[in-house]
Amino acid sequence: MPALLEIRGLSAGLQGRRSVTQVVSNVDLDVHAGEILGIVGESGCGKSTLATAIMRLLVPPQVLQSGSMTLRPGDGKAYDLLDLPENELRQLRWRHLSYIPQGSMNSLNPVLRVGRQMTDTLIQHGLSQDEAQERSIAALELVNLEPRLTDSYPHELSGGMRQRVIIASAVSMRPALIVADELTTALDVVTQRQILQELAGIRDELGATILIITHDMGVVAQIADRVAVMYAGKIAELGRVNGLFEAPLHPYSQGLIGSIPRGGGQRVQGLPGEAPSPWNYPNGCRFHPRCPHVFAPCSEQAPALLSPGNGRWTACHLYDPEVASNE
Amino acid sequence: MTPDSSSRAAESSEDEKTAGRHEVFLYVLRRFGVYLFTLWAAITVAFFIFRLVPGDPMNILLGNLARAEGRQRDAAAEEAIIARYRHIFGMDEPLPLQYINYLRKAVLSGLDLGPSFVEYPAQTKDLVFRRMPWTIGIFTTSVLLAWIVGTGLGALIGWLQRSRLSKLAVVISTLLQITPVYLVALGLIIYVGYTWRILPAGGPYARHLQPEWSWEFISSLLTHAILPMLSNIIVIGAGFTLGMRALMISVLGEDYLTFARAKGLSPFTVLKDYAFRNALIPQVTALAIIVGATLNGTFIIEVLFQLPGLGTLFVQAMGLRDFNTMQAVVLFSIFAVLTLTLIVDLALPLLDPRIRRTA
Amino acid sequence: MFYAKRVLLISVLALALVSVFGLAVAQDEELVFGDLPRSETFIVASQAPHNDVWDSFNYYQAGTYNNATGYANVIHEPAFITSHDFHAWLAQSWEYNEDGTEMTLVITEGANWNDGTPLTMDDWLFTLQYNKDHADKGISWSGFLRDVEWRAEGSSIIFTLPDTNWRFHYNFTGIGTFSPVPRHVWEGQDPTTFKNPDAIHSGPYRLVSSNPDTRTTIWERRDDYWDPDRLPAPKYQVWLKRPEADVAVFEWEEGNYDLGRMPFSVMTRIMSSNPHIKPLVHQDPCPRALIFNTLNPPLDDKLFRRALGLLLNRQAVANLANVPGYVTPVLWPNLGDPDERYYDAAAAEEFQVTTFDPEAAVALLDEAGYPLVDGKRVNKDGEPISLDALYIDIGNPAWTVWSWLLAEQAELVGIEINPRLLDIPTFFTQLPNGEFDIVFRWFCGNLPGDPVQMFDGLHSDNAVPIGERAGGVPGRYSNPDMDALIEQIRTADPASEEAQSLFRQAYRIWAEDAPYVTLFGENEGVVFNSQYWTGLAVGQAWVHWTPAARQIIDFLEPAGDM
Repeated sequence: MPALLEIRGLSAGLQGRRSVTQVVSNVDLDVHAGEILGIVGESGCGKSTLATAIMRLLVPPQVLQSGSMTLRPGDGKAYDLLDLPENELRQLRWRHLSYIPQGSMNSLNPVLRVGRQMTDTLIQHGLSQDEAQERSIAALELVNLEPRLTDSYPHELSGGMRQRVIIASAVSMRPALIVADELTTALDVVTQRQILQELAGIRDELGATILIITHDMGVVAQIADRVAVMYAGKIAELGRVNGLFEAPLHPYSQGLIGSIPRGGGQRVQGLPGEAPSPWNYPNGCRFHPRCPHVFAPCSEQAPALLSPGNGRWTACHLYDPEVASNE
Repeated sequence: MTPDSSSRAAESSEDEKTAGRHEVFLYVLRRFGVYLFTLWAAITVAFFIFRLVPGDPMNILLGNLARAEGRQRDAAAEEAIIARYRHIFGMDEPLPLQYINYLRKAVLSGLDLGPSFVEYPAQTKDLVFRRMPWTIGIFTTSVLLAWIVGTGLGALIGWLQRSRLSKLAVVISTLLQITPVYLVALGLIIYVGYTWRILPAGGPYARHLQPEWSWEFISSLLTHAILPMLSNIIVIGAGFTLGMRALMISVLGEDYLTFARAKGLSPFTVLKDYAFRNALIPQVTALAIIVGATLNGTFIIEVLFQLPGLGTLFVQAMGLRDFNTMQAVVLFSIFAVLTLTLIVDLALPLLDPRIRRTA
Repeated sequence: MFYAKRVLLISVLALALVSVFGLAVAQDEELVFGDLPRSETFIVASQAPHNDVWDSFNYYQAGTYNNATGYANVIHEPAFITSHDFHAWLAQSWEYNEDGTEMTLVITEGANWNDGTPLTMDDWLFTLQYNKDHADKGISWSGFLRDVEWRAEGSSIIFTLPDTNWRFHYNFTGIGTFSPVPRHVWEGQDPTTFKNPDAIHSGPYRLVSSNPDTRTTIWERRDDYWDPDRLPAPKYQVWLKRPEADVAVFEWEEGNYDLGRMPFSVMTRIMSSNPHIKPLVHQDPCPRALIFNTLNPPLDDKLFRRALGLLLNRQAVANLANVPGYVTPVLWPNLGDPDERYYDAAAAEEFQVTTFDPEAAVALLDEAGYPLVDGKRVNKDGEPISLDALYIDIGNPAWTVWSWLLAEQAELVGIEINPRLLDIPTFFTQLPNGEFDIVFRWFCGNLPGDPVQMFDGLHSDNAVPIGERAGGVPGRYSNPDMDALIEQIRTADPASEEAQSLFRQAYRIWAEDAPYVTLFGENEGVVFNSQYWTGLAVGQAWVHWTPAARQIIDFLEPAGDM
């Protein structure tokens, strides 16, 4: 069965005066129906650009360079997201493809009542006023909010409530895919947990597919089925959460997982050095200057994303039999 | 867990509604107090500052008399005349007493601002009331039109910020905004009024007409109003356009705009309900601020277009050192500006739900 | 409501008519101001003073004094017009008794007011009494009636004067003079507040409309004017306030005005685009002069004052004026060529009146004890001399350049003079209060007015302390010899040889003391459009800003179809 969302060779960057600085390089990724896929990485690794590109919300100076994205929302059609005309894309949005943006605290229009902000979208997508009202209230209940909050203005709500309103809005059309960018960043730990649980519940209830973009390995561990680790605009490792967390393959994944605080007074092992910015991505493997296992080919040749088996993928020369054997 | 947190929010919002009503009342009261205080301060400053300007109205009066008679009078006769007019104008008393009398008459005797020199024996109040409709008519209409046009245009070129036309519009607006209103008005007079002869370029209406409810008079009034208002609209409108464009661009960078687009809303809805409505709030405040600053320009336009408004009156009064009239013009200008500002301030909570609470 | 409907109906009908016959009519007759034929309308674009009153035609009130409405020029007729030429108008002649204690004024019979009512002796007597009764209100032409009695005899009014006064007739012949007002209009009215709304007076026009919004007054000639020989040619006159000069230029270029004042700086431009436009220059009756404050040392020294007079290059001022010949030097306190009867040529020669001679100035300064120390002239206390010269700017270069030329010449001889520009209200306040060193001023003391005014203002009655308001010449000049002469001149018959001798003596004192020095006589400029009207020309003797202007409109002739 083909993937719900199939990303192939996606590159995006920042348009400078003369040239384009690549931020996301040649990403291949499949998102399967019904799963929660986490994309994790340090700030500046390009994961938000990737999310924005998937949503086709890149605004100048952000530009899409190449690649293709196919969405098969289960209505028997396949949509090439990057080729879709603007008006068809608008139809597709929210119906099949929803977005929970980074900075949800400020993602609600301060001068419109909450209800209006939910219903206007639904009405735009062809629902009647009454249907839209019903759907909005149902969606609010889904995230444990009182229906009468529709009469409130965003500034009258707490941060968690605002986040829930956005989630409710995002699920109100029962879309096939929800892209959630840094869902819980601005929230306290308790609210974070509640919201993640609610999101998982929504997946179970609505059968939605969720793409979670986060820098927080804990979030991924808690909710995701599969995880893609991004480093410097590329996918470093991809695999099921259990396997990846237990035995990370890529040295970067190993470093990341080592940096998760755990109980028992164990010291956190950080990664040495800093992530490179898009203006000076290293040649070869972009992780090699920080890699504890670096060897000759790493600085010369970029590793391909290969599978060493059992559904796991990694882009590291250590696992490439050809490169490793040549050494 | 979550349901009770939201019901708690709902409960407290009930309480807050009562408290909010109280706060709004206090806000209005405080705002009105500031309004009265500013008005008083303006009268006081105007009263004393004009009297610090060198020049005695009595000497100008005598100059006119001498001119009328074609000869000098003897000093005793002049003294008698001066004493008489000083008394009529209340200028024969010490300054603090003059000030108190002025306030007392202005407040207690129904805006009795004394006689005027400009059209003695006409009362200053009558003079100002006769001239005010012109100024208010031209000024408020053109500022409001400028605001509407500027806000609309600014929203549009901010929305289409990357288009070439939009960039051109910014350059043109900037040029117009820095052009003195005098030059704009003169340009319109020369080209539209005389070279192309499209519209009349001077006077409140055709010279042979008298005010009446006739089509001839009203059409004359309207066609004569176009160029003076246009002068104001061009200059002020350019400022409003640039202001709105900047506000629009900053709103376009807001998260809720990205979210609105992600929701698949039509560009028109995004523009109208999300971008425009948010950019509008500071733009309304800008209206209140700019109202005061543009009154000068209106005065210049009045003089240039020969409109019998307060600006022309002030120029005449200044030439005669007619304190009563100068004060009255300042008083009414400040009254008009403050009232408009007050209306805008009180109207802001209607536009911005956030102010309803925090005010 | 009914009226509005009617107007609407008429407008619609008129519109229909105009659209049918519009072109033909427009070609036949150019209409202005609604329905006035352009060729029968004389349009005056005045430059109203700040008193901008369009709904009051009261010539008593200083506040309503303006000639923008045409009231003063079109219908306010004086007893006599004396503008170099002499014209009997509302009165015919005057005569004194042998000792100058009675004057008989013969009034013109058969005149009428512009509402058709006869202008009779009754109106004259009413006006005299009215003015006298209201003298305390400071109204014009009232002070001269103090202690004067009068009675009517036929068409004569016999004035009984308190003292010998050979100059009483100047109240009827001067630049601005006594003029009767209609009794049926003014009786019971307060001269300071009455507006005379229908503009009733004796001239050949009546008021059609006056509008303070558009600042336009329309006058129509009347058929029943009392003197058909003096019926002016224009059927209509429109007096309006012109826009700012920047804009008014275009009106002139299009020939929309016939007569008016414009800054001479834009004249060339107007004339080059409209060949009908020409400047009319006429001599202003008030010569310009510089007054010295004789209380401020070293200006208290007549030698120093004369030295400053020698530093004035009057010809240079004339050359720097916009229109060559616009200003001419004057030799004596009056305009024009000196009248030998009142003028002492020997004194003018001796004291170098109006001569430009810096070397003589230096000699005078050295002699008077203002030596040059380190390049600067010092006063009697040894301090460098520094004086302010006050002037105002009304767009006429002659009124400003003198101060710079004087400062330049003074610097060459080591005296610092600082030209200071004042705004007009400030100027009119500082001047009578004596708050100046040197100030620019005009003198309206010329013939045909009362010649005594040449020196009258120099009487020491006017030498009040600085800060107090002075009449006359505000330079605080005081000389007992001059006072004695002035007092004699006041009671002497100016026509007598005795009085003329007194004038010559006064001239000598003036020339020696130099309380003020004459600067130049000036030609006033007005703009005239000869497309529709002719008859006004350079060299005519007229003054456009007084009732004497009534005479000007009689010069007008239609230009005809050209």
